[in-house]
Amino acid sequence: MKKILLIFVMFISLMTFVGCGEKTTTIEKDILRIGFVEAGYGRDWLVEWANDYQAENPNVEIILEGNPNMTANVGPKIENSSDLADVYFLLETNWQKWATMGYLEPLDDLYASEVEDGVTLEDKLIDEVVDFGLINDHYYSLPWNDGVTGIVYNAGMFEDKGWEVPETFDELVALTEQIKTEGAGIKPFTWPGQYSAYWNFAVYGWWAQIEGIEGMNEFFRFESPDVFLQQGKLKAMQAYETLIGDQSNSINGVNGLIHTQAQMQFVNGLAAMIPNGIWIEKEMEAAIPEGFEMKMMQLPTLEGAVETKINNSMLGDFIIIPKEAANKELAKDFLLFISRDAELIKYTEMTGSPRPFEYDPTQIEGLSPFVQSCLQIWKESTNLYIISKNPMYFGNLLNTFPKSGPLYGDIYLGDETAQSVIQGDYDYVVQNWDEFRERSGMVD
Amino acid sequence: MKKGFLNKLLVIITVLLISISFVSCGSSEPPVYEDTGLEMQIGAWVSPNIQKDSSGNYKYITLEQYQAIADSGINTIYGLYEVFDLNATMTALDLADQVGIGYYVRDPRISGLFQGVLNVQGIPDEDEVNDDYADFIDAVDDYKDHVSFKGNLIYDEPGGSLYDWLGLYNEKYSTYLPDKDFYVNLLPTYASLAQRDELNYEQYLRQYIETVNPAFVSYDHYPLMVFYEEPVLTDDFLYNLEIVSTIAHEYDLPFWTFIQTIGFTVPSGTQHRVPTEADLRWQVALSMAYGAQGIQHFCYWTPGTGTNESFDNAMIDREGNKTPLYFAAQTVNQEVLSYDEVYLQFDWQGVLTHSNESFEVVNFRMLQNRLESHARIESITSEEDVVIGTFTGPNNEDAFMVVNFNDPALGLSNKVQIDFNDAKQAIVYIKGVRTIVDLDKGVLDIELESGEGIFVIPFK
Repeated sequence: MKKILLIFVMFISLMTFVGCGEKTTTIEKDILRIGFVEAGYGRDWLVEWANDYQAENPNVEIILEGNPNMTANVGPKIENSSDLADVYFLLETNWQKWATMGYLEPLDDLYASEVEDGVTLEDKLIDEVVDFGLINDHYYSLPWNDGVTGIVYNAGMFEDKGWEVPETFDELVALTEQIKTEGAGIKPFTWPGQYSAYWNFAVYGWWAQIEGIEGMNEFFRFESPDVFLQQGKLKAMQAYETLIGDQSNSINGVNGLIHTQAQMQFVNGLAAMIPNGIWIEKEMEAAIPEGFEMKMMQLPTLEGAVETKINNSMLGDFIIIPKEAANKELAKDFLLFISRDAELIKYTEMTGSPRPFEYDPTQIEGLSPFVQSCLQIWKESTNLYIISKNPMYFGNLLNTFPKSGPLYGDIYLGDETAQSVIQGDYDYVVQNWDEFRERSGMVD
Repeated sequence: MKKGFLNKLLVIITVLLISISFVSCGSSEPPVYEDTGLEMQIGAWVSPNIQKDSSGNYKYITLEQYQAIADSGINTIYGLYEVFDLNATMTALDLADQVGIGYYVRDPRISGLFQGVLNVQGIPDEDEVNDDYADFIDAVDDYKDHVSFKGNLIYDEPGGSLYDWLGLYNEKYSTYLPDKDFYVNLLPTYASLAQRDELNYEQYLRQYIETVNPAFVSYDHYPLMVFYEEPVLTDDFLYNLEIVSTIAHEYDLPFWTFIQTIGFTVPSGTQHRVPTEADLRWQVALSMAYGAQGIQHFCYWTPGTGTNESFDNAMIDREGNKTPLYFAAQTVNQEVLSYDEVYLQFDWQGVLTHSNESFEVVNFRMLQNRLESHARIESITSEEDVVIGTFTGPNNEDAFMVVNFNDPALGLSNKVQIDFNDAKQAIVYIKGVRTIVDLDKGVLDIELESGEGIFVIPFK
């Protein structure tokens, strides 16, 4: 009854009454509810998209429902078909479960639909991410953000001190010594020990440098426990160990920091570098001191790399339409609309983030030096997209560091080594392999 | 025979007349509730740490620390770190005996029992069951006669694939320890499908009840969050209360819920804020509006490092000192304990909500089983959103838990007027204090503080 009342109230509120003598004309608008994670990028980008779409489709009224915790909030809504928006923009989570359980609208027709100039959505997506939304031969999601991650440096400080941006890992190690010698108390790194997975941004990149994209794809297919002994992964962890196992390279107490605390230290010049991503500038917008300038560095190359320029995109944010949404076709039309070049450019202009589509955001004028540095890396690198279709992966049984997480903090503290982490994960996977396969429905 | 029949008829008529006279004449006397001994479960996760001093004595498993637990109003403390040290468990039980609180034992010797006894068809191997049962008895015999021993912590947040095991275990447990709690705590609605082993939440609850056959349903849901320094609530806090309460009620089981009594951050970066006294009162009041018969603090003692989460201080910090949350929780606990024997005599019926907004807050929008109206309530007006739990008492009287639903972090008070049918006065428990309020033509006019809930029993 309440739902009926709500729909009635919404309907009434959206009627436009145009007085003309004794006659009244009523225009009923189609409603498109968009739920989205309202976090680092704010909501201006979506307001802009909504305005553009409504201008082209005056019969449509878009309602935006933003919440920083939307990703966690959506699960109960989708599973119970309650208070559903028509389309959701969410951060990485295991949407694949929702798809396999029938909670999501298949998007095969959307992928085959024309965006503009005869180009379909499938064609418009970067080739490497086309399979992102594919589960059991059907598309159920669309990638939202592409990304650039790695090591961000204080460009103003580097210039003032005459420090060179390192191109190789050995140069990076040498730079840390130079910073400690010449920096007058400045530390090479700060990082969020409480969310130490920020080091994945660099470590995955080094790993992909050694293994190449095919090696990474092989790992994430998880066809055998042996992939957990990949040499590239070990060498990447050893690089981290060399860099951060030396505690003098980090600000004291870094192990207790959350991301915003570490980022505050960075923008206030207490450390020269921080593992981070393209979103940091927008996220710290209000706290960045005047004159502060940062840039993303091309990830320094490890010795033995087969791919020297790798960008770890950390692709994972996604867009879905619930199976029980009220206005699915309108939602699909909106998703086609925002895949046009003009809207993609607008998104990057407003957020500083690229989307994984065939377009050139580096042409945008007025971007900050930081965003420009990120987009240049995005354009010139081999972008690493981690996409696994293995049910053990999206069932949360297997991931890169399945035993206890990446243990970056433990390596920093000297409680673990790169070798012990790799071996521990391998042993754990071997021990649980059959059970994981059974639990994920891969065997009867 | 005939005379007996006439006598019975006379008694029935007399009782009927007395009842009618009470109903028709009414009474200006407030209803009286005898002390039935009913008590809310006020539990708390994490007992004092097992750390020892240089002399080998427990630094925190002391009479002083256990007295502090009792003084806080907590009546059951849940062992956690004692899992590493049976002697710590025994010492804790001795101290809990002395201060008069209950204690849940976490015993590693019994934690995996009966797990491997089911064959692929799910049929237990009798020999293995008997072996494990013998091991179980050997273990719990060490402490089962302690007055404070209230049960065992068996499993926290199981997936549905563990229910067959837990069901078998509970059967054996209850056979030997029929008066003790086989304690299992369930996941919240915001847990992933993978965590629940692909059961939707309703299936997750129903299968638990039907397979495990528990004596109560306990679950956790931590609603108080902060993003970029802005307070935020989980969207599904009320929905979680609603679905647990509704299903537990359907199976005639009590339910208990956790109260977020600590700030913490999970690896995904989600931050749960450090709660205030108003935050605690708000969570407790809403839980009671949904008929909760137990509240459980997460946490009493600050958990150690080495977990995936990062914790702020709980009621007691890691060095054994009381924090501001200790005193806040103590205040709220005492408020509950001052009228729980009355509240627990009432049966929960359902929940009304009231909002001035045509597009309600998302917590309201997600509800699926709200009451549309209540015969005792003519109308409700309020400045802000209100949640009203409805109850029926031992004499078929109505009662209401009226809660200011605004996020307590906003600090908004809420003027509420409820026009009661057929009532001149009301017993109103405000922060646990019983008062009699004269209603103005049936209207209760009250201002709820931020986070506040009141228990109202209108009468003529």
